[in-house]
Amino acid sequence: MPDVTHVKTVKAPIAATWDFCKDMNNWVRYLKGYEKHEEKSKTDSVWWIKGDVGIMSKTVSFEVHINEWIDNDRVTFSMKGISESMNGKGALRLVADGDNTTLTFYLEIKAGGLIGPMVNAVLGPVLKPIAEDFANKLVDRIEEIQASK
Amino acid sequence: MAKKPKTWDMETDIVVLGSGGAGLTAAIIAADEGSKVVVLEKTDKIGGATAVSGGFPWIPNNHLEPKKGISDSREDALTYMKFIADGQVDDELVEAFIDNAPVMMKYIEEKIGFKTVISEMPDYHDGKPGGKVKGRSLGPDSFDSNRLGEWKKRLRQAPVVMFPTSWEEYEKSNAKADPRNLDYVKLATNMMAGIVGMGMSTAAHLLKGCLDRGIEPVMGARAMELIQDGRGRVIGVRAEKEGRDFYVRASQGVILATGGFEWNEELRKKFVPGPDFLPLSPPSNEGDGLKMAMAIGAELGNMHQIWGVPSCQVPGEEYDGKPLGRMTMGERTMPHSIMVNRKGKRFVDESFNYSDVAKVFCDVNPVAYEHVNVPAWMVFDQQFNDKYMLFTTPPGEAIQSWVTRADTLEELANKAGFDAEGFKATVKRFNDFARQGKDPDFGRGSTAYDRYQGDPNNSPNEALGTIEKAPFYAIPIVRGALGSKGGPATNANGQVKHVMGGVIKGLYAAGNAMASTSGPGYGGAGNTIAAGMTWGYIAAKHAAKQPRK
Repeated sequence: MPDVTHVKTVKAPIAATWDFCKDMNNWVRYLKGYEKHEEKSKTDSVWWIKGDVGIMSKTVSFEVHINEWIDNDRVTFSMKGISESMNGKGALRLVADGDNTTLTFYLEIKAGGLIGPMVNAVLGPVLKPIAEDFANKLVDRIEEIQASK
Repeated sequence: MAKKPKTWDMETDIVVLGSGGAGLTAAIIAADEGSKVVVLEKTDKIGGATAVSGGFPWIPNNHLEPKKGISDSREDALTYMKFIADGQVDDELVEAFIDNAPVMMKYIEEKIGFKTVISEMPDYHDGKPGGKVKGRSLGPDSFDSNRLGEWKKRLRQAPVVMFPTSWEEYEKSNAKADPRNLDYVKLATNMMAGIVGMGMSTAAHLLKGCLDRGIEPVMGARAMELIQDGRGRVIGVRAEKEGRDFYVRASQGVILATGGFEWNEELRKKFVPGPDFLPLSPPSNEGDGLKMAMAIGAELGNMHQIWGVPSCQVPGEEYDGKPLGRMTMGERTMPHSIMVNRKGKRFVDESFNYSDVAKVFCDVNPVAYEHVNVPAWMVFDQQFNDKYMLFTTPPGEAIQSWVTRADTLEELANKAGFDAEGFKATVKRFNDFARQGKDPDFGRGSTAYDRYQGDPNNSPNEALGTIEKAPFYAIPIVRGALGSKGGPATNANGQVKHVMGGVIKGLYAAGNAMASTSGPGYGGAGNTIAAGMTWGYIAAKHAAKQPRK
């Protein structure tokens, strides 16, 4: 199953980092290929992501459900493909590190169905740069907000 | 015309423009004939339209046929090819193709190890004089792209699933009728290990042949103008590379192998009649060679023809920043599927060869002054979904949300936008035909080709199945093209003709960059690849014999 974990230090206290991360609307747009999202409820939304897997690009829509919020600790979510046989899950985990925060981003996407093994073979290598790009942008934005305070 | 530069960035004997099957074959042959070769490729990828194709060379009268006990001959091949060309191609060009294609294929097999097998694929008009039910379409072996070293990452990736296996293995599995026969874990393992198949394999074999001869294509170099001497002889090319002019001198000749002009909207509208079409090739095929040749007086030919194919655009899919067109094959040829127009009427033998089927999109009602088969839809039922693949949706898996779906035929027609009454009558009539195994209206399932493209486990006819099990589905079908097939007219040496007579010395064309020697027709699976490779071979052979100037 293609998955990736990326760890990054945020130069902001955990409270400020959590304040940003707790709301999906703040960060979903930093996912590479983000096109739009629609919030259906406090816990459910639909994301449209234009994925580029090296051989072609395609807009894929997902139903996203926030599984848990734990204050100053984590937000986890699951993804179910609408347009494709594809499922996944992700998490943003925070750990205080003095005045800083260690942010861990986890993302897992798995294609199902008959040709799933082939799609997963293509997906694997592209997840790492996606996770890095996302975490970098997220951290930059949190630090920008922190600096402006 | 570009002026001769004060200094050349590179000097060589033969410059090949483009790195598809035509260009790479030309480069290999020119090198083997003793010429120094430079290949200029405008993109950052090698392989052109060949890499995104099935990778088949269609070689009449080839050296593998006798080993399989298949009867073929020069006479049969000529008879058939002249039928395909429909009187629109000079006999000397048809003969040059027929005489050189098998020689080229044997040479390429022996010299670069590009192995192929005879596929079960019939010619596209197998029942016509000289046509064969088997023998001419040669399926490529797989290739370990690690053999390309650093060049592996330069190999163009096909935008749709190109199974990383040999054609022989693929065909034996009967995966075209039932994709569940393939071992996808093994295919994924192959993919991760760098094994490529089909068009990517063909392109990779040819690239390896070039690399082994010390020919490393110059990447990101887009040829813009041909440079002539005072007598009109082409002596080089001005390209653009990294934002500056890049001049390459060619002492023996320049070979245009830049692909078609299908991605150039202006040229499409100017030359190709009928409703506009959706290109399925790499978007870099913008007619560069055609424009350069026109600028120095080339005679043009076959400009109104395309390698057509009924196609579909899945919303949101892109390739190199352009809409990705998907070719219909099993979607169209398997049982339980038909195509209808806005009146809900069938209009063609859906299972027949894609190139000729695509021509019916140009049919016109002169009174209404409209294309009668545009728009069009492919309609199928749950039986199809249960058994066959729809693009990337395997049998039994949920049809994607962009496909129109309904529980009744009437509802489907109304949702999709075609006439419900006409459609219901069409389906009733077609279902009767399907049960009988005969299609008196269009002859679907009456040719070896139709039956090959159908389901061998379906009876009474491999190509015919009822549409009766809800839910029903419809997708829009458009005229697509694997490439354009017009360009500079050539003689039997591949030399580009001048519009005022004679040839433009030092200038050659091959593949989809030239006026196709198939005219309006398509001989069989791999006609495009074979024409590219063969004319690359012919042009290079001739150019390499020219005195260096």
